[in-house]
Amino acid sequence: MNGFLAIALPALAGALGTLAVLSSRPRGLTASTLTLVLGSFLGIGLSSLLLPMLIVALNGWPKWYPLAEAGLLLVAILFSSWRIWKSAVRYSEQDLIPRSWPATIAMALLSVISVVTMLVTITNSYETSPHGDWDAVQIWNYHARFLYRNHGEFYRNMMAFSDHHPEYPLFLPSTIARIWIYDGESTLPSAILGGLFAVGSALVLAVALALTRSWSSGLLASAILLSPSWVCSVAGSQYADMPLSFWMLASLAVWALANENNKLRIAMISGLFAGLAAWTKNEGLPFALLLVLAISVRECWTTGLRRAWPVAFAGIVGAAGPVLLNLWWKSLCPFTNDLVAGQTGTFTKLTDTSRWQLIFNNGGSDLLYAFGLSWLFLALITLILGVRVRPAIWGIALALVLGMSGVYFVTYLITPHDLDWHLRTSIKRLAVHLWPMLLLGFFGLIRPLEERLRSRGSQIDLGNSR
Amino acid sequence: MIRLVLLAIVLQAMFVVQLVPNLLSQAFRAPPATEYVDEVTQFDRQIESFRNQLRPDEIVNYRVALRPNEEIDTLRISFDIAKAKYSSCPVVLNEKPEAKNLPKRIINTYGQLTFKMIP
Repeated sequence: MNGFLAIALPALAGALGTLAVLSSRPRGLTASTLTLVLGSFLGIGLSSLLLPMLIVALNGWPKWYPLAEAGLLLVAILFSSWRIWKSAVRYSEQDLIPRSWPATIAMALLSVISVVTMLVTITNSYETSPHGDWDAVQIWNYHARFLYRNHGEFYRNMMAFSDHHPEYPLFLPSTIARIWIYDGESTLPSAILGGLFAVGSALVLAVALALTRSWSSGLLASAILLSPSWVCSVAGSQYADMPLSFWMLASLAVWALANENNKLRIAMISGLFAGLAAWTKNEGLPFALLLVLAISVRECWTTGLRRAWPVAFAGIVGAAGPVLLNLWWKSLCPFTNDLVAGQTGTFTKLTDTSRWQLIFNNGGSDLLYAFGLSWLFLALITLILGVRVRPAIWGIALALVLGMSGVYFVTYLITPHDLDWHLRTSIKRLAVHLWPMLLLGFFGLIRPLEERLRSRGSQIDLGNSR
Repeated sequence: MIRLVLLAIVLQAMFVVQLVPNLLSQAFRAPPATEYVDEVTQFDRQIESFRNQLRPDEIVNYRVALRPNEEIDTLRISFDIAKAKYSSCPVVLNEKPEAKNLPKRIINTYGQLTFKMIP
């Protein structure tokens, strides 16, 4: 029960806080649903920032920590509720329920099957490996134990072992340690977090696309998101890859709520999500940089340089907190990252064509393996529904997928590890980071089913495509 | 209308070829035997049982005492030592001021659980 509170309190505070920040005008329930889902994860993410700072400052977490934190969160919940009450936001129910029943129900069914499969996979993984797979045992849950076990300077001992990557970001260890502080040590929270972020990704993808395109597009995208068995197994591995992919998706999905009045606040929240990506895995650092760059370029393109600066600045301010905290934690560690520390002959590696070839070969076969038939279904859906290119934030999603693929490609080129081993052990997980963003961009460009049918003069009222 | 039919066929194919096989393969996977204990939990229990055998004055405080300079070949013994570290008490160190000259003990996890003195 207490462990539930460790997640529910920050989630509720984050959801109500985000709703209070963004609810400046009458809005539909679909937009409010997206706000609440994104906000609840934002709350969970932000609540992980305090614990490591406190442990370093006080050489361990004080006994009053859970009580003080719960009190602060309750105050935040009450204050946000009061703000929402005062703003007297009116909700319209008309856009919550899609009217394109047959198509939407079919896609909702597929989506539910995907989620159920993912949850069963996580349960199976938990039964055989309650401590998670290799990296979960060796890195994420391992660091959580050092943060949780409160023996004076115990966390410093964690930093004595370079082979466990003590400098890695702390979102997952800190969140797991928080739950343990509330409820005692157990293997369950790590497994539940994997499922929570996977379900969150499906939900955010569905609602963001429902808000900007159509419910059928959103539900179909969420069904495809979790349909590859590889994605389900990553969710059950207790690795940080699933939370990272969620933050990446959320930093773009929040733009579905943007309008002229709240653009700066959206840019700040988007930056915050990107910062949380950097606070979850090192791959989030280049992502935060690319995201701020991408939203600035898009704003500059659409509204001009003068109006782009505030948006860029808001994005940077949002990302700054978690990114700086991550860099501060790294500065405490006596080891630099293995990729940085092991660099020799970098230029030779960059120009070595055999390395390029190996990456392309392995990348192609692994991506085919990881997402299997999903590629075929995406291709068929494109052929059937067609493409409608129009300026939208989802173009940024595809640009970021390309940008991050470039970052990963260069990282593989210069890796000090054996390239073949490095590719075999990580490339499929890196693909999972980009998979939700790719689907967001893809379905943002694909013509919604409702629109396609209406344009053919169908007599069926298929509802709310945009 | 043709597009709707084609899309319905693609969705059915997705349902039959990808979603249902994934779900069935997970739902009907044989559960582990009742006596099954995963490797990490097994090692945790081993360590805890070792700690319970120690005299109370030996468990004044314990911490990981391996430092970079005194590290043994972690590549060679990576997995075992990693599990030991994960269990948080591979090294039992008597930190009582009056006992500072007592030897440190390190648990060596090769084969059976043993421990050796570090001079």
